[in-house]
Amino acid sequence: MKEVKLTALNFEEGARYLGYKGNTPDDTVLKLMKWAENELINTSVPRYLYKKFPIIQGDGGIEVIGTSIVLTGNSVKLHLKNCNEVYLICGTLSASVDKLIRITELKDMASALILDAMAGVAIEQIMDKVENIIHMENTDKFLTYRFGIGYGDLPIELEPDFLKVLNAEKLIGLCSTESYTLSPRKSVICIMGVSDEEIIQRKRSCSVCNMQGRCEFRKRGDRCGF
Amino acid sequence: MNSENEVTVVGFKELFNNKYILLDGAMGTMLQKRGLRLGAIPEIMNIEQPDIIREIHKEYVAAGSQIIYANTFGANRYKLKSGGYSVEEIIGAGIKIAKEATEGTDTLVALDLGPIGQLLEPTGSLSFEEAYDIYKQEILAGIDADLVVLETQTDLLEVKAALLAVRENSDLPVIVTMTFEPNHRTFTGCSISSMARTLSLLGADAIGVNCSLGPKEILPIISELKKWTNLPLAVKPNAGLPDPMTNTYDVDEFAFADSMKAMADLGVFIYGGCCGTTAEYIKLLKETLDGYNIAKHIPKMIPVTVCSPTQSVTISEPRIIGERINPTGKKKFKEALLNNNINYILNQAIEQIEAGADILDVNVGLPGIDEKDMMIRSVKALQGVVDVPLQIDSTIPEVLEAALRVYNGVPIVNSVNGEEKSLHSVLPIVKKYGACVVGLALDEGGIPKTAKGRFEIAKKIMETAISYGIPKENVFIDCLTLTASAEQDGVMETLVALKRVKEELGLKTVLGVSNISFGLPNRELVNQAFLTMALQNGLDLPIINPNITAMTGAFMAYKVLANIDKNSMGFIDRFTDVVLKTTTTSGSSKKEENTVLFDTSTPLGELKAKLFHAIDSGLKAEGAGYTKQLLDRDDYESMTLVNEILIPALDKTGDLFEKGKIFLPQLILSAGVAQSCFEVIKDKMIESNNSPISKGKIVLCTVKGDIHDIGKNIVKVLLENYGYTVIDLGKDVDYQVVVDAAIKHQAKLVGLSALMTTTLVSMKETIRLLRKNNVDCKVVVGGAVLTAEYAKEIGADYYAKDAKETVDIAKEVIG
Repeated sequence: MKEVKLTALNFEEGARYLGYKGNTPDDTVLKLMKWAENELINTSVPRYLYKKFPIIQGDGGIEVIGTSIVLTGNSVKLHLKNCNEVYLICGTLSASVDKLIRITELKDMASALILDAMAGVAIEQIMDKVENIIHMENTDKFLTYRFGIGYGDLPIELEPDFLKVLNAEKLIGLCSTESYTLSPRKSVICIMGVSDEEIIQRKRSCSVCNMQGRCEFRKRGDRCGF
Repeated sequence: MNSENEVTVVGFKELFNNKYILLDGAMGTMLQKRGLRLGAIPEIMNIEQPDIIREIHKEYVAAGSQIIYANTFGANRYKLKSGGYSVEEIIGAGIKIAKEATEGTDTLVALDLGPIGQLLEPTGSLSFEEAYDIYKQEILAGIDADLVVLETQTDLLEVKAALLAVRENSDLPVIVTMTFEPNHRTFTGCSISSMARTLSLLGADAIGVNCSLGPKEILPIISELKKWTNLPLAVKPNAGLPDPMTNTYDVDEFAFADSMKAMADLGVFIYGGCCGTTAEYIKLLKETLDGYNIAKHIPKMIPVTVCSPTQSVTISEPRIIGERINPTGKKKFKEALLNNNINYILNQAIEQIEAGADILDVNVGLPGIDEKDMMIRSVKALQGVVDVPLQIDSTIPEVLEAALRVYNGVPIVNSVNGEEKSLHSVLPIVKKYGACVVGLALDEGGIPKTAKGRFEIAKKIMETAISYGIPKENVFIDCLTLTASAEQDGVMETLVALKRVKEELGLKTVLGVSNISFGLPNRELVNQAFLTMALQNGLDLPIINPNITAMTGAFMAYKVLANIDKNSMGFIDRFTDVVLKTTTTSGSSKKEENTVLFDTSTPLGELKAKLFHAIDSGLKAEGAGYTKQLLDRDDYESMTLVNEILIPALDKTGDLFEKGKIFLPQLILSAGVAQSCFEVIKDKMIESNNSPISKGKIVLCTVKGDIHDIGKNIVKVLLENYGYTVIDLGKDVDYQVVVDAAIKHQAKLVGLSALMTTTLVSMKETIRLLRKNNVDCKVVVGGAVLTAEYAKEIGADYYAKDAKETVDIAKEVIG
């Protein structure tokens, strides 16, 4: 598998995660963001996995052939419309980042807050790179955007089965807790649909998000960027 | 002499008469070839399709396997949750099938146990105790097996839980193999040396490596492993590297068997194959090994080592043990213990490591607290943030044992002494948990006056330790420092005893240094001189306060002069451009260590404005410095400082944050400065014998099942800034623990945080239990997934949309 490395982080995204709503952070905060970027590049050990499966629409939902997984809910049905295959994907910055955040919290809470936000940016950037690799493998096909387990009405309870199918515990050290938090924490698990026909990109929106009505970004009049 | 360097093999002993032991090959990938769906639970086949499993076992038996692994790798209650069968049913069937397959042969059956599938605290939420219990259940279910194999493990602490579970619930021998990445670490960061030392001392019968990599990549890992253990080595590589897309492996059976010759050259004793291998691989492996000369195992001396999973410290040169995690004579530490403030301990740890400590002593004994509980929590929290090994320090064997149980690595026990009672209560647990131990050269008669007396006790401790099976080299002797001002003639006796213990008994030595100067002026001068003398006489482990640069400096200077610090690299790195502040000079030239210079003649008004600005701008060191300057003045009181500067400055940033003029990082930066100012005030009050002021206690936690805690920690900082004492229960907190803490501390306000939709129910349950117990407190809830409506629905009194609002609520409830 191709190695994926963390490079420069998107500071605008970082500022948005920190609640800046389009404002630019002052020099002190920018300096800390730069520090966080450096720490994350040095500390994280990005790892990822993906696997492609055929899918068919069954009675109880979309069946992922060759596995025991059935994708249920309307939002995933809409997302995978006209798709005949699906990629199961997961990625993590690894446990070293969790430890780094724990240590930083003890030393300086503001630095930890910024590090935590930048780590959120970092895992998304890693997943962007994984997505690019998948795109390169499918130049003659059309792909949907990444759709997280737990988005919309796709049950988060599927998480352990996804991890099992990808053998994520053994291959990249990624597990989930009894309450479905991924551990290590800065990790993502999602799907992408594959279609032979052009996909009219359904807009990513708050309406398919599982945080609908409870979202920190929406509470303060912003959007997470999904 | 009894030592780990003399191997005694128990259990499946007969196999050790062979030239080597042959294991089996893969099970999982064989099942997938036979149609097992991805994501399905393979162990269910033990009941639903036993013929397939039996057939695979038989293939391996026919290929020559002397031990086969039963199909029980993932048969724990977590992984079987949705399977419809119990652990007992699955494992019972698994062992039975394997026994059937080996009938009429000498092949043994191993109960095969893989990782649980959830990460342990603090990365995950599984506790050590729960992990132990999960393994215990598996072991009891598989008690009919001939041995236990713990394999594909990546977390040393999980392995320890499993190994203890085997030892405490069966007499079965155990082979442990862990899985490493190409960087020679496991996913959790465990190093080869730490694995080897920990498992060798914990009583594994053989250790090694399996899965993840092919024979070529595993070879250097085995080569390193061999340096750190005298146990038989086991290896079970994959058939090369896997392609996760296609599930195929890139080494065929011929290349596999051939590449194992290099393992034989290293003297590996136990061979098998992991993912991607088949009976063909095992058959060829047998043919190859039968005709190959396997290097003989020659026991070797292994450096005395203490370790955490990530860091091994060999006592091959002097090492500093940091002494600061100890409440004796420290009011602030005592207060932290009483208020359950683990972060205080963690900060003490980080500070000492940054100052140069190689090992940290941990003592949390204080009348009025549950020392055992506090010790367990401290050790768990410390190993979540620090890499250095720990020295567990308590006078109570029960506390020592509790800490040793959850400790991840090889710790030092501080201490045993020559009294019969101490020897026979402490040494058995040192042996059981594979620790090193400090032996104090005193007994029922007290501390002998003479070097000879102390030497004799040291010898007795060593001999008793050996009789318990503790490797001699893991006993470190403390010849005890007496106070020079009271017993001046005893000082040299200590050093003579130390030298004799080192040279005649061949043991490592440890010594608390600072006691020497008690009652004298300029104590550091005396401490420094004594430290150097002791090092010269053979001291290996000085216990000192590493934050005092004069002491660390003397230690590092000694290493230069004793030709340990080659080319003075360490010394130059540490002390270039540093001008030391000692007790005899006030540090006037160049740069003084760790201090910001202030002009002492600044007028009061200007000083106040500067502090206000420091808080406003997030300047931590400056904030603390100006606070100190203000408090040093006769005309300025700490309460005035709080009311005139700190609170107004915090109110101002809070106000700007609410109005959207500044953002969360800036608010927290200011709060951080205020926190450092409060620390100065606290120190000052303790110095002048005043209790620190508190407006009242607030219990705070992230609820059961939830491991997100940064939001809760931010709230804590702000609340403390406003003078509230926060009892922080941490994350993933049981309902009852919240109730108990609220009652114990008479908290008027309880704050609950949850970040997951799946853990909101825990929040509801916690509130329900608080109400059921009629706890007289208000409840405030917060967290990303909450809304005001939901907060009301689950019975909370308040919903706080952010940390600032929590402070407003605290003001309303407590004042």
